[in-house]
Amino acid sequence: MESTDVGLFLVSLFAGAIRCGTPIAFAALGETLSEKAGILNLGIEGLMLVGAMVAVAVQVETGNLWLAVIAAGLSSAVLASIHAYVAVGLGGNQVVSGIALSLLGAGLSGFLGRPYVGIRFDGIGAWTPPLISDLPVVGQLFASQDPLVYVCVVAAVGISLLLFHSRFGLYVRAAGEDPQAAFAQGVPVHQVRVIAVLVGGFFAGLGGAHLSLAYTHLWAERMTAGQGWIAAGLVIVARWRPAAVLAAAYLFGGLTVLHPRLQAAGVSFSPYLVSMFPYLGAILALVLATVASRGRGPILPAALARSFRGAWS
Amino acid sequence: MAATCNGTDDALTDSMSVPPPVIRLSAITKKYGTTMANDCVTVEAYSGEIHAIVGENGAGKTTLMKILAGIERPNSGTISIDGRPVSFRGPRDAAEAGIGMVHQHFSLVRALTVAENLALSDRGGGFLFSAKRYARVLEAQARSLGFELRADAPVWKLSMGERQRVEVLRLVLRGSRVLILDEPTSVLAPHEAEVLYAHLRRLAGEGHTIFLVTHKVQQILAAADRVSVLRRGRLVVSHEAHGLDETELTKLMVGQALPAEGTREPSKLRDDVALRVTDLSVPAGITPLGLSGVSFEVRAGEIFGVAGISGNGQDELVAALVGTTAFKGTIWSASPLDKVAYIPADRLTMGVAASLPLEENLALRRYRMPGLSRGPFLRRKAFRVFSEQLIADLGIVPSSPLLPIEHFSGGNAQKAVLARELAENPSLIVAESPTAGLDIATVGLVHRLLLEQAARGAAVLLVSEDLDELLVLADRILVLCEGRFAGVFPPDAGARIEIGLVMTGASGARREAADWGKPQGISA
Amino acid sequence: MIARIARPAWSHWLRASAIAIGGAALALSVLLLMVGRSPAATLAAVFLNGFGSQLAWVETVTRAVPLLLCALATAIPARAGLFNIGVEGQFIAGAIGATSVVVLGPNLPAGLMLPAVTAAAMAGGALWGWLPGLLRGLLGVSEVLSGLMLNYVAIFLMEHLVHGPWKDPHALGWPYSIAFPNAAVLPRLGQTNIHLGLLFGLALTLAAYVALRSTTWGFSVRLTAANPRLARRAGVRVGLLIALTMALGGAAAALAGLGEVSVIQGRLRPGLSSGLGYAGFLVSFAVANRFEFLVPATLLVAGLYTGADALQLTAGLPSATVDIFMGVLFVATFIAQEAGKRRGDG
Repeated sequence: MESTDVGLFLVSLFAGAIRCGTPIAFAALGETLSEKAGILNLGIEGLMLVGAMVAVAVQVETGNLWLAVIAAGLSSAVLASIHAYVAVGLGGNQVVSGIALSLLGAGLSGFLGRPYVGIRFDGIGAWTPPLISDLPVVGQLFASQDPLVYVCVVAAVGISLLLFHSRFGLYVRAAGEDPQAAFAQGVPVHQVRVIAVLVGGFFAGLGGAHLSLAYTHLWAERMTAGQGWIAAGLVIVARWRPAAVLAAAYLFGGLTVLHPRLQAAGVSFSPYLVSMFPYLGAILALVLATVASRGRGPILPAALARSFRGAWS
Repeated sequence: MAATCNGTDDALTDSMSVPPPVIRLSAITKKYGTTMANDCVTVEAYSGEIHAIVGENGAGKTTLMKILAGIERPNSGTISIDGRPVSFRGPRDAAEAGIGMVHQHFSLVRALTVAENLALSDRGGGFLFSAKRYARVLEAQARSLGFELRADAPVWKLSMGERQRVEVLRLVLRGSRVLILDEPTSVLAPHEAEVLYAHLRRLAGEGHTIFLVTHKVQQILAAADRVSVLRRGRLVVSHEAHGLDETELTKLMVGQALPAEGTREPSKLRDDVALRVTDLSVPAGITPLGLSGVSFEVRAGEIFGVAGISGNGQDELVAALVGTTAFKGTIWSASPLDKVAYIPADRLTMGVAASLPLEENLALRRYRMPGLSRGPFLRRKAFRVFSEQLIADLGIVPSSPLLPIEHFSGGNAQKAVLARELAENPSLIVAESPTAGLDIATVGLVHRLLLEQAARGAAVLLVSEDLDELLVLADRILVLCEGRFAGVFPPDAGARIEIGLVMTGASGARREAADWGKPQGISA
Repeated sequence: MIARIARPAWSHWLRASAIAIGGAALALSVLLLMVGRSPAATLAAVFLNGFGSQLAWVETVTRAVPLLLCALATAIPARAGLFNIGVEGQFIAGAIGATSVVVLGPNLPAGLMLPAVTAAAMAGGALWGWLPGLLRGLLGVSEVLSGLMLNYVAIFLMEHLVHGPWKDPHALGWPYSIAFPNAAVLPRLGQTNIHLGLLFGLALTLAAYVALRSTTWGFSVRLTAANPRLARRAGVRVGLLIALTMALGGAAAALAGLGEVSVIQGRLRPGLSSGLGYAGFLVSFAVANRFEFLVPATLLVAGLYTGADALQLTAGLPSATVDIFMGVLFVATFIAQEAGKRRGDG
């Protein structure tokens, strides 16, 4: 009988990991797209907060969940357009602009979200898509997740396909590796980079929406508590590959949900030291990627965070 | 065939009977400031022709081709395609008219595969894109044109020759009938150059017109159908390649020796060696050829010229001397190598700190020495006195010590580099194309300064692609070809043709420094 | 052409700032109108609460001290061409370093306590800055990404310590370290919370200003930022210099952390920094990392925070109001700077 307990424990752990990792996964997927195009967006934290707040506001005001989710994505994309303007339009400093955006997003969401603080609502509930629950293992993990979890998996596959199997994705990678050469070959580098930043912002907004509508079921000021920065780290750990980004986010979610469960089971260790691992892992991955990018095949988008001021045409 | 700039154009009237040339550049004139880059040049090329545009550095070859490719616009003159005059507002117009150019610096994205790179400029196709499938189509297309292609390979894994073939192939696939290649073999190892020429031959056979801008006499005679020789912006002759020989062509390129400004009287060499390079090798990397087994000595008080076509080992030699690359062999210098004065070819990235003011650029080699500093502190007043002296000595304009150097003209930035490096009274000076792109007055100043330094007793290693400059300034001239020692020559009028032949690889027999200057030039 | 370019850079900067502040005020006005407040009255109240009285000034200066130190932590490496985004982590590492002395050596003689605490704080911050500097100088690893990650390593290290080994058993279960003994607290000015960090900040600003302009070391720093390859040829050990400026920045941030943990909070506890590092980073870049502008800029920003906080109490506006104002202010500043640069180019 004990093996069944362990099985149940693992299933609930993994299911929790997926649910907890999904907001970060959304944001990290968006950031992957943006960084692949050569634009580092450190404003994710602010973008997620705006998404989370708008999602709650629209849900409370209209009661329409899907409208809330779409509105969250769109409002974050609008905020990301500031970064697109500074980083792409003006060729300005991406680091500084991203940090400022983060602050602005936190402020805007705090200010406009004040009427919604503490309001509880049903939010997005569980939904089991047909067929999934019949699958072994996967069925148990994904059964009774909320629909945005599935959207996130589909998004990961979609972004992967977009990057590596579409013409637009080809343009994105070219713009992130060598904007001069790409421009010389007729790729509309500026437009491609702007679109990547806006879509990246949209996904950060979806991450925020999942956090507030499906995970916590409430809005609180600064409720992302650093998840946007984690997303930036996971992109590095995953070496800019969407599938690996998804896996890394789930792993991170797992670490987060593991602790209270183990504590309940009588095992005790410092959750804070465990929480460090993703960041230490990101630093290690960054060092390896940088060293490996020398002379051999590039892993880091070569033009990441470099502005390109080629002529508009 | 020679062009006349005043009026009647005979060739066009003939075009009633014979098919007109695919390309006709008529009386093209292009001025940069007061310099005539192209002075009334007329060139015609026909379908299926490989047309070499040859001439020394600064003869106006690249300018002429950039005009044809729509990158530059001529001050006067016309371009016609198939007998119809056209006017290009930019490279895009030229591309639409079927003219494409491969530049010396390739525009391929290193991280992407060949297929992905070629897809970037392919405007056809839907939203979805399969690199694998595209690669197969591409390989088939390439094969039909005679190219063997690894379309799945990322560009960073390709050799320079393969990258170049990808560029050529891209132009052909995009429908270019006229291909322009600027110094295509300068980055290629010899066997790769042969492969390239075989491809070009085949493309010409299929009706393409190919312009080759190059120095390499031997290869021109083997590959080209017609040769147009430019010298100092003017067309010297446009002639069928058949019937020309190497010596004749070299003479046309470099001109008959003109001792006008007086080649320097080869002064008696002093005995003290300032620099001894023994069996110096640098692996390929900076350029594809690298440097192999070069030995020579430079005496104090001597200007030692280094001649050769760009990319034949000069960059490696200089990098080894100034300590920016690893090398094998030995470099012995009478003074410590970090005291070497270095006048780099690339002023903006190696010569100056663009955002810092002029006076700090002038002082950056000695700001920690007593005089400009006291203890940990800079002596600002001494900075000012020091820099104003140099500004006055070299006539740097504007004479504002606090203006960031990025706002100075190229000539004045170069003066600042010279002033800074020479202020250290170096015993060895490495000058890399120190007059490239400068106006005549500044060129004169640079020459005077180098001669003064030699007279003072410094050894000057002068790398230049401008043979005239070397003949005027140098006491001896080392020639590098394909990364190897190719001889040391005196700068007399008779050596001009011979140097030209040796540096283009036309002269099979390398001069082993046997008959002249034997103790100085020891070939490995 | 020369005349146009030769115009001093600060006039360009001043104009950009004026445009930015105007833009930020305008944007905030729109938001205030949206929630039915009078923009003019609100903005006036912010200024009055931030700068209108002695009490306001005391609070503003108190807030300006850590901000100034964090801005310095950004500006010093920035003048060597680096982005020290790890200020937040260096701030916390400094606080951890200071606390380590209090926790591990509580029996140190009182006279040694303060020097030991200060040295340990600076060592912690310097280490946290040196690491990304070393990776950058040695291997070319982006100091932006590694610094960002190290921020969280510091945060979780702090959380681990106050929840675990350093937890005060008498804190009724709260995740706090033991309180700093008086001997370990930075001296303050009278009854205020303005502490010795102010002098550190002013002295460091002045020293950095003088060092950058007037010392050979400062020349090496500027040369490295302008052209690292040329700097190397001129004999500058670029890798070492990069690591050193980052370590210096970290030490400055650590002094802010020391002030916060010893004076303001009195103990190590979670939520110690709440974004001061990022705010300092933005302030520094908003004045193009120029030391001569750091003090007025930090005073202005600290005053706005103070004023907006008071507003929260009196007018019932959320504290996030000031974040919006700051966010818009910084974004507008960077836009104005970049747009100005572009006009200059063209």
